[in-house]
Amino acid sequence: MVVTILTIWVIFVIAVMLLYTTRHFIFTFSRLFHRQRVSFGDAYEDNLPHLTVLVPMHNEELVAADCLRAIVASDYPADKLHVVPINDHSNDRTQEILDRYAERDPRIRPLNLSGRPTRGKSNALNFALENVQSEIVLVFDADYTPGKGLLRRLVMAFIDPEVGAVMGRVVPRNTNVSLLTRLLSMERSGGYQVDQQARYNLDLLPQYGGTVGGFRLALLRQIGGFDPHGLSEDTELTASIYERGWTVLYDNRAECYEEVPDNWMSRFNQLRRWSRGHNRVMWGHLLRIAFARNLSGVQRADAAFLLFCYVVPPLLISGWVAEFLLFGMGHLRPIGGLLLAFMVVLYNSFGNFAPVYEVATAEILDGHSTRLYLLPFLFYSFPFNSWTITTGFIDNVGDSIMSRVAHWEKTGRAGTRA
Amino acid sequence: MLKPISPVLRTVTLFAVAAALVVVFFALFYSNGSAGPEQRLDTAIAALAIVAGFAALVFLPMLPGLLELRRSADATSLTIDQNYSRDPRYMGKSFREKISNVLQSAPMHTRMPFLNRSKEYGRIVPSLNLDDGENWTDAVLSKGAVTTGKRVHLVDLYAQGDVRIGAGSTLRALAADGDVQLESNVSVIRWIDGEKDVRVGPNANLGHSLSAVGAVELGNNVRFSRICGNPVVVGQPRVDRRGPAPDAGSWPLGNKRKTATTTVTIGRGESVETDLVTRSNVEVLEGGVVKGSIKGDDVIVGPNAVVYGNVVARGDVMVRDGGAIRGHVFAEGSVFLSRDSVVGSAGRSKTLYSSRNVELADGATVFGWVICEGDGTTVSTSPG
Repeated sequence: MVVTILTIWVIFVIAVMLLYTTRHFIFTFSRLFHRQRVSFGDAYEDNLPHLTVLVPMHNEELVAADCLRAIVASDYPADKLHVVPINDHSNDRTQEILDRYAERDPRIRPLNLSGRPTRGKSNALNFALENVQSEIVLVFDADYTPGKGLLRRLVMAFIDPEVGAVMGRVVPRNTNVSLLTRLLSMERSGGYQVDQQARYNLDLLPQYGGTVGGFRLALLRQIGGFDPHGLSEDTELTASIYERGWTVLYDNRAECYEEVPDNWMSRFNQLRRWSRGHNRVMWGHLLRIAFARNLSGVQRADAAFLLFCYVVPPLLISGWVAEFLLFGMGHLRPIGGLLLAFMVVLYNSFGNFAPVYEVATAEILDGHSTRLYLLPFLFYSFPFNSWTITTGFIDNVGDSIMSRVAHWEKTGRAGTRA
Repeated sequence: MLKPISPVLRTVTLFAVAAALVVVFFALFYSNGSAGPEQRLDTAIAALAIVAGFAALVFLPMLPGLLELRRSADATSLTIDQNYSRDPRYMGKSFREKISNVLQSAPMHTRMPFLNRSKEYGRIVPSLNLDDGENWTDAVLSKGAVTTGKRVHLVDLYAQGDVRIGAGSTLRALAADGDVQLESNVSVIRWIDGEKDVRVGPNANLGHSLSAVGAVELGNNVRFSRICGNPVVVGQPRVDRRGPAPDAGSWPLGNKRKTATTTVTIGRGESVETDLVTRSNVEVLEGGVVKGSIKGDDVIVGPNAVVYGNVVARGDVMVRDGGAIRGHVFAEGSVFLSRDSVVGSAGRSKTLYSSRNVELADGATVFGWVICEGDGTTVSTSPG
């Protein structure tokens, strides 16, 4: 009985891993050989709408000034740009910096959430959005420094009446700081240059990432704002958008610098938070999006892949455990289906070749050369990612069972400049 | 500053060494109780060789990476031009600035090295008149008008007056502060930028781009990639009899939206006030009015029909005679503007973009920018 259950479980894990592997290869080949869909960056408009840029900040004294300077240096018409940095319970010099910039530039109107009970990005955005008047809202994280033409470019996405949100490409500016930052830079390349663009090419479900992008305010109000207990307001909005028959436009040329974590503990906290928040969204939206009438069958499948992605690492780890148990019980014969299964799991265990292949393709498309030598290191960061994501998954399960409210774990900053 | 050995690598190395020691220890003391010291040593060496072999297999692929970490040959972030700002006239403005910096203070007619290009020179002249067939190899800053005969060859030219280029001539790049007139069969290799109006004769090839502050009038069978003008028109400019769009001053963002999975048809003379989004085609029949934007596969705007918002098509866009789209047009297929059709409206620049081809018929007018990734052509029955 136990052997049968373990065998079925291993076969299930194998099937899931094979599906994800296939998906990664399809994305890579789409990026290499498929016709690339255009975004609206080429559109020129001399009558742009009013725009509000929100920047949630919690203890961002190292990066706040650079971010605000970059936003107000934009070529977006000055009389139509409103910048709202949100001081979310900072206990460093963030408020002082915001006040100083607000004095210098009337377009900057800071909000201070001190005194309000709950901290976190979703709450901060909900509060700020109560007083927003513009039709379009863009959101940047505080470590982002948008270029001069980026706001205009992102806003142009909304000339498409089907677009509910837009997402640009994230580019680490502190790539050369450590092995971790270099690996994260490669992961970002794979995730945006190949994964997001391929999803856009194939008319699947590109994701709103919440850090260099925006949405229609009317649509967000229709959705009812962000989940105040959520940690992944970006995935939540993505799912809600597709459920309601809108789309997310990914613009690969709307590039923006960010600062990636430069130490493993920060990365652990960040990834754990993503996993915890993403899985909360998954439980809430999986069925709704799977049966959304306005999505095609392929789009629904992609939605399931997207929502399920932070469950895959714990699933894979459970597959390893099941394999070892079967081996220990003498049921993993040298020749047979389970050995094949074992090989597939093994193939997906150390680095998962398909994502690595995706990253390599992205780096080549970006014109990089010797950094490709670092690819084997991804095989060793993969177990780290798997374990971290599994920890976030366990957190989420605990949240669900014990009705716990998750707290926002802030990603540490170093204040690196490009 | 890149740290050559990260904590992770240190940890992995420590684990590898510890594992090797454990293996040797077990091989030496627990492998076989009855074995002698020599056999135990052999076992330990064999075990160590296996561990070393495995470690080599694990670490060898990382060797180039370790060298890259130490040398950091490719460690910089992907370059983003933080100062990039979209400007249809960027080429012309940039060229004016560069050539003026080099030649503005130079004596008249003196050849000066130009733009650090080897074997290329520039000169400043009060005005320029070239005879038929002349070949002018220097870049020119003309303080006045430029007039050429037929089959002239020019490279880079900045004229602070009007410009008239003779039939069959070739030029690489042209910036003009006055009006520009290109006679028939003129070939542009790179771009043209005009501060006023530009008139293009038949059978011209406009190279990479043509931009103008004023109107751009195109003759028959003109080939182009990018044109920006206020407006761009095939033949003579027409008076837009429909007058300005009622909402021409507003950003077309409809909150009302109608979605469908089948073909959407707006009937003759019918008027709807909503965005239309469908997974199929959209057709607005003769005289129909859509006060909103359209997203569909192929989109057809019928004769004298008007769309007051944007049109985004996964396939082709066809605007029939006298039809109008007041917003942007984006097509992943081709775009065909029939006789007297209009995109945009006076004073409100919009963009017509096609991933494939653009065909503009006689009287077709675009206020703003026309961009095509494939072939752009005009089909005019008007003379000249």
